[in-house]
Amino acid sequence: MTAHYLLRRALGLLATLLAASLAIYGGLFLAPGDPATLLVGGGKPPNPALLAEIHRQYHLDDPFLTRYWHWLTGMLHGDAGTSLAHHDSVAHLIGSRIGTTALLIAYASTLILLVGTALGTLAGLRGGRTATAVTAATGTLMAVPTFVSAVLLIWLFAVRLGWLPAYGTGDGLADRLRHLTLPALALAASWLAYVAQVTRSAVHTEQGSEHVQTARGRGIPERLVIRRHVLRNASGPILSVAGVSVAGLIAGSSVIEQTFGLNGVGALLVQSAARQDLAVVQALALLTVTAFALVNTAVDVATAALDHRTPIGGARP
Amino acid sequence: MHAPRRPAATRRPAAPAVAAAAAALLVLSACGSSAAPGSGKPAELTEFTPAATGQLDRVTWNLPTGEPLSLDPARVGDYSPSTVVSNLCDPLLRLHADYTYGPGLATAWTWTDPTTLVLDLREDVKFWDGNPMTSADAVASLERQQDPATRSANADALRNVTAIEADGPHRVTVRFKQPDQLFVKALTNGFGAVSEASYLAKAGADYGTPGGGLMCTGPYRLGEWRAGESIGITRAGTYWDTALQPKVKELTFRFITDGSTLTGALLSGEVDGSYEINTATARALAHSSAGTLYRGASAQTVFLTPTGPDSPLADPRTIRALQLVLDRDALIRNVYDGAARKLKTFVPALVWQHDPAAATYTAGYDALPPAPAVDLDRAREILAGAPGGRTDITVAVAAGDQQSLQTLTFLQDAARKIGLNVRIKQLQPAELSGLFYDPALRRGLDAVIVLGYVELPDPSSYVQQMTDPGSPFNWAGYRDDTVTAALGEARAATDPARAADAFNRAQAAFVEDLPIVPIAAPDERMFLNRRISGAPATFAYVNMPWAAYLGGTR
Repeated sequence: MTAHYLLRRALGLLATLLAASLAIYGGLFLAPGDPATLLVGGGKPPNPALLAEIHRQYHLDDPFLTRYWHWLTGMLHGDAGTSLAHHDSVAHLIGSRIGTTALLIAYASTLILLVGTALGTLAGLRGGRTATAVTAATGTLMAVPTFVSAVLLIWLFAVRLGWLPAYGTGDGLADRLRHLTLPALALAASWLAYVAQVTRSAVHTEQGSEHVQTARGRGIPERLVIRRHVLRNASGPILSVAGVSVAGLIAGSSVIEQTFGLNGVGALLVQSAARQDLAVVQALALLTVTAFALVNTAVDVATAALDHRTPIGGARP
Repeated sequence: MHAPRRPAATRRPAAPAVAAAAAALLVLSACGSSAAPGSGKPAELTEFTPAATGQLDRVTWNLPTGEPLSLDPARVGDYSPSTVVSNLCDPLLRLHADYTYGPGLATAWTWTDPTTLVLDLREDVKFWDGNPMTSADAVASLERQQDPATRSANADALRNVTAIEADGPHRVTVRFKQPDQLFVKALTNGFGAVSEASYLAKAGADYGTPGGGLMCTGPYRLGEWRAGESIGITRAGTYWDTALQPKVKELTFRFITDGSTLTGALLSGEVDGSYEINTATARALAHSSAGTLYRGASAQTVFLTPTGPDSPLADPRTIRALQLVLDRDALIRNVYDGAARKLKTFVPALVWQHDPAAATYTAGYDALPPAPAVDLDRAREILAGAPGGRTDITVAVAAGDQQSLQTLTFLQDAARKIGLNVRIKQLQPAELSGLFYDPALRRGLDAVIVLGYVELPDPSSYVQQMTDPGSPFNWAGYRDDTVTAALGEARAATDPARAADAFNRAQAAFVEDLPIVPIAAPDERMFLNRRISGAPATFAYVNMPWAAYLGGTR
């Protein structure tokens, strides 16, 4: 059952990747502009021979299908191509940056899952003023765009208080975590608020449900009621939302990395898209699609494991 | 051209409006009401920041236009790579802070006849690896730029060259088809930089990349280049110029392109300094105790140019009308906080102000009609004389270039008063830089706002790119034989006064009918943390070893 399900998901992912690669390649191919001109230093008198040389070196004049085929066969042989702008292999460019992005997303996810669910549970269980305060605070967080929270965080913690660095990646794990704290906070803020609100409402609903009332009526200690009945049953929606938020972090990391001067794949994607550096954009887009699919699959499997009423992969006819 | 420096090319590509809004927010929170826009006082320009007094181990510097794509001196010609390479690779002639030039690796440059140039090289110069620099290295460095595979940014300077020969171990002879002074001036930038011949041969196409490295003679040598992260440069063991010994042991370049992040990093002292500070950041830094914001003369220029002969702007009458409605004083006050000058043409004065023939250039400039004041009636009158013209004008601007965008908003507002509808079109970097070379990308556009800089200490070559009928940047098909002839004469003239005179004749003619709207010449704005000082504050930094002047303040 699970094996069959995973196989189905894997095939679906492959088809998605193929379609996405064609769409992205086509989109960039059709985008107006000549990436070669960006390589010519400073807009000096354009030397046609110079531009022709760049076009020749990077096969920029080949027809679309030839170029796509060239890329696809390379990819199947494990060669993701060469970056036009960086004069380096795409695999090396991504390899040297993916650690930063992975750490940032892991950091932000941890914040979302721990702080978000804790706040939500607290509000859901306590109700009253606590719930109002949490709802108000998270409502505000949700409304503040990421780049604004980034600016405010930098101003407060880097400029005013001088506690944390304003930009950059750092060396060694401790220093890197220190450097990633502000970016992770900025990245996590609105998702954290979202998860907190969903948690609050799920816990609140479960609190009033019949089986919880029954459990309480049977005299089961409150601690156990909350753990076994409230939280376990509320975990379904919380987990789905958390899954979506982690997937959202992958996309959101581009803006944050660019803002905080982090040397990750998100910033690389933004810069490469602007330079029409096809091979890099293509590889990163496919990586993002894969990450999305993997996170979603993981959430599905986890949901099923937590609640045996949910069949894996959704209800079958 | 240094002109159509693709403004966008290296500028921040992402979420520009958003970042600017955020920067404004930071400014407000950082300095309260003291940063009222338009408080620009009459500018006091600095040539050199106060001389450094102490040695320092480490300085962090920012490159606001992002990471260089290559540090091969033959290929550089843009803010970021030039800022770095000018400290690594000495050129044959050296540019000074006032835009004059003098001896560099070459002690003398002599025209033995109108088409033969002899360069005498210093005999005491060593590359970082300890090997002596000889004429063979200079010849190899120049000659490789004739090969299209080198992708030299300055190949045009070789247009009239027929031969480059080593004439003894420290003498190079260059032969020309016809007299060409531009070649000498081009020797002041990456074009004239000398790399070690054997190293060039070994590195091949990787020269100037993180993997291939560099081998030059400058005061600093290339340290660790961590792609996407930082570039380190380290003080070279011995430097031939005894008068210019670097005081900072190591410099680390960072690539913060986001204005608000840079503001935070400069205020917190994480980054020590940066050239090319924009208005929003300058406002936040102006009253900071973290360091000093300096303003220097610049060779940068902002203008509007038509993209084709069918553009309404190709008609000099439309140009004149636009000049009459655009309130440039207000624009400079609001967009640049006063840190820009109003010009009669589009060539910034720094380029010729200290030339040996400065008096001639000044006389020529003073004789031009004054920059027009706002006069709506006169503008309407002029437009009425141009019947059947289109009233819609689409102007391209680099997405993310906030200052140019604000400038266009000003123009849009002004043009509406005389019935012209300016549509602003933001273009992505590859699209914007592409339009300078590819007519197909200029379709649907009528004009582009250009932020350019005159890199060489030579006004004529810059103007030539916009006026010469054969120039690929003369999109409107401008043709004036007087201008073409005079500029050709200026390029050939050995005597600076004759060159200046020829330029003046051309200038007097092209200001009449060249379809270009000069907007402003922005000043150079740079910031230094209070612990450092000494660097030049003028735009000449792009091609001079500015970091060698830098040092501690105690």
